Amino acid sequence: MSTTTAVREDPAPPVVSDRSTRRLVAATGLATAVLSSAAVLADAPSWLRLVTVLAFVCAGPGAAVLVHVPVTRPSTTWALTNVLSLAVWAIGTAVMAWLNDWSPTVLLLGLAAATVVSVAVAWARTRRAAR
Amino acid sequence: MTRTLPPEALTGPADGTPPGTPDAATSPASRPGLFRRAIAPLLVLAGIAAWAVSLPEVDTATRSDYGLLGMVGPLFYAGLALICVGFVAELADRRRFLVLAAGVVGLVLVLDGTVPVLYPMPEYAWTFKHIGVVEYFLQGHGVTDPRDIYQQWPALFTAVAAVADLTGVSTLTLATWAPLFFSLIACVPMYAIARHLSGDRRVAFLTVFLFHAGLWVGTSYLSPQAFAFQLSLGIYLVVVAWLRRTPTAWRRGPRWLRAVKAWSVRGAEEVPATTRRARGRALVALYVVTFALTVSHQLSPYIVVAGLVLITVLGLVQPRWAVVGVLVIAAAYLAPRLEFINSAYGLLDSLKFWENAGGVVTATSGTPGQVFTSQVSSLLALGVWLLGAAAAVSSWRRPGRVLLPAALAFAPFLILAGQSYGGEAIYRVYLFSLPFTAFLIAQAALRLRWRKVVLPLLALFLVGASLASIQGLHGTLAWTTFPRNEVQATQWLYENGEKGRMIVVGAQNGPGRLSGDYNDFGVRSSGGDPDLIGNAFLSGRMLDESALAEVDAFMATQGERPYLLISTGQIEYTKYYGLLPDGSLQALERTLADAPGWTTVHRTADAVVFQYVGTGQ
Repeated sequence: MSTTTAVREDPAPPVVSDRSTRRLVAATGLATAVLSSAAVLADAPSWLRLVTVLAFVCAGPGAAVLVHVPVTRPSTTWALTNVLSLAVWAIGTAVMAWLNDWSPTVLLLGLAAATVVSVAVAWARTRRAAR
Repeated sequence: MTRTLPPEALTGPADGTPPGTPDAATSPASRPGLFRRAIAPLLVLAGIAAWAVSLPEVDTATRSDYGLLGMVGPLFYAGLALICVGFVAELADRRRFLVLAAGVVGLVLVLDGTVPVLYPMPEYAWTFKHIGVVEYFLQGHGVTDPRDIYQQWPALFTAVAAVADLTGVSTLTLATWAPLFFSLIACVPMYAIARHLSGDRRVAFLTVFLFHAGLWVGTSYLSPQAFAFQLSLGIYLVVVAWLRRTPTAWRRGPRWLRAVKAWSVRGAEEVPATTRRARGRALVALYVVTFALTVSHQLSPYIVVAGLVLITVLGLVQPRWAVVGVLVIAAAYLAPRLEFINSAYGLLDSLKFWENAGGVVTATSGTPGQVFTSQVSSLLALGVWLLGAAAAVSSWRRPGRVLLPAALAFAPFLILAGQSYGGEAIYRVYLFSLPFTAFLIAQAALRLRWRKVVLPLLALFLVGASLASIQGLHGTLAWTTFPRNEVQATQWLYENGEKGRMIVVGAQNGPGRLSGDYNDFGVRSSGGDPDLIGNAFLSGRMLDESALAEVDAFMATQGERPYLLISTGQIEYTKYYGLLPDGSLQALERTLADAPGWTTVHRTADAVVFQYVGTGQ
């Protein structure tokens, strides 16, 4: 091997996020919404609630938005899913503190319901477009 | 010419490789042997295994002036080296997504997973102050105190309190693991940003790896800034993904300025155009995340604004008014709190760039370990910035291709013009600069020829930088971790102490204000409790019987029946920085046990709580 050649570069032009990424994001949003709500309502063991709630906080609300948005790269889709989820969760909990009405279970269930509805709408739209 | 990518038209594999592109690394003709395919993942896995095996050997009962690296055995070092070498080997050869990701995760585990595995309590005294605020919201309180800076920027605290409430996991446990959590999630947007700036996946992975290897500033502990950093990366990502435009030369203005601008855009790559609708959605996302950022942390929005203003001026953003919205959100939230912030902390406090660039601790009269850690950290920061600057300068013929990352790498320095942020501004500058500095270095390093020399050097550099980073992050372990007994003593004081009393501490290092009732003790709405060194001016004194009168006199000024807390963390802290002679706080502890006017109200193996009732009673 020559010692004078530069390290090979990836031939990767900009691409548009494929449907499978959005399907995966939708499934993630749906799964985290359902599982976290179920775990909290069923008063599951603490570790299970931690895993599911944290997963929802990190991916749920963002997934509800990103399933409707064509994004140029899968990494962008996942990153924004995470950042938007955290942002929405932070704003939601801060609003509770400003209103002096602390009810995180209501917030979780509300956001989870919104996520499920959003994912369902996105799926229905995709099915209509495919027909 | 710009082109619009048709939606769903260019689908490809999740790694970003275009459809139909034969992968040179996996085509049958060039398929390498099993050994070559397995070597890099095996190195990374062996590194993680060596790290994991090394941990039970660490004796956490002992303390070292050199922190974590002074306590671990050779397997720990071998593990770190194997991870770095395996990562570079994969970069050089097959560049598989999973192997490169495993290398990054391995490094993060070593840097931010070691301390939570070894110690049951969170690292850093500041973490406990934040725990107190989380506990406050967890008790169901709302934002009630207009002069409590934490309550006025509540988002991180309320977010964590809600998670603790829903899961039943203690705030102490969440705080212990927070550094690993924040460091891992930061990888995702950082990788995504780098993927937009470079078509080469290896550049993106090396950027993330370099970021962690170079991040010696402890910023990922449970804190508003750790959370704000993640949101800031999201803002940069939205801008880079949807609001970027191809920079062009200026047609108006003085000739020299037009010449400079024409030079600066030379080599700039064509940015695919985005639709108005996509930009509209991006702006909504930008402002939602900006609002979350604004209500989370005081300084971070302005560091982000500095970067966005600079790249807008350089013609890299469209629409140009996008940044105005960000600034309006940040300013509108600050406006009603401006008087309080200005009076309590000082806004635009000094307008002295070089003074604001100074760190928190400037003393170098501590232990040899303290001097070593300070020098290593400074060297690492300086080295990273110099390498980043060199990487940017190396593109002087085609500056357009590094214009955006270079602007975002050095824009955070602008914040030093107006704020010292209690001496911490320079650390925030380093944090916000590092992703883009790392990108510049990664891009330049992977463009270099002489790979047989460059790649081993790169591996060596990553090992060295990671070790320096560990020294910066955990070199202070002797005083930044607290025994369970010490934490319990503080908890006892908040649960059983007389409300409204002042809590005086021997030195400014301990798990203080960790209860939701933190405002019931000490100075309301303040960031800390008074101490004997800074507030009683007893620095450098042996606090034996000869100093008792001065301690009494100080305590007499702290209201009725104040408490004095002396703990192991304080003793280690004063020793590390040479603030008091060896044995000084222990001597005070012995003296106060029998001193008139003093009562010992609680004692554990690592902390004693005294109450000063006054000699007149």
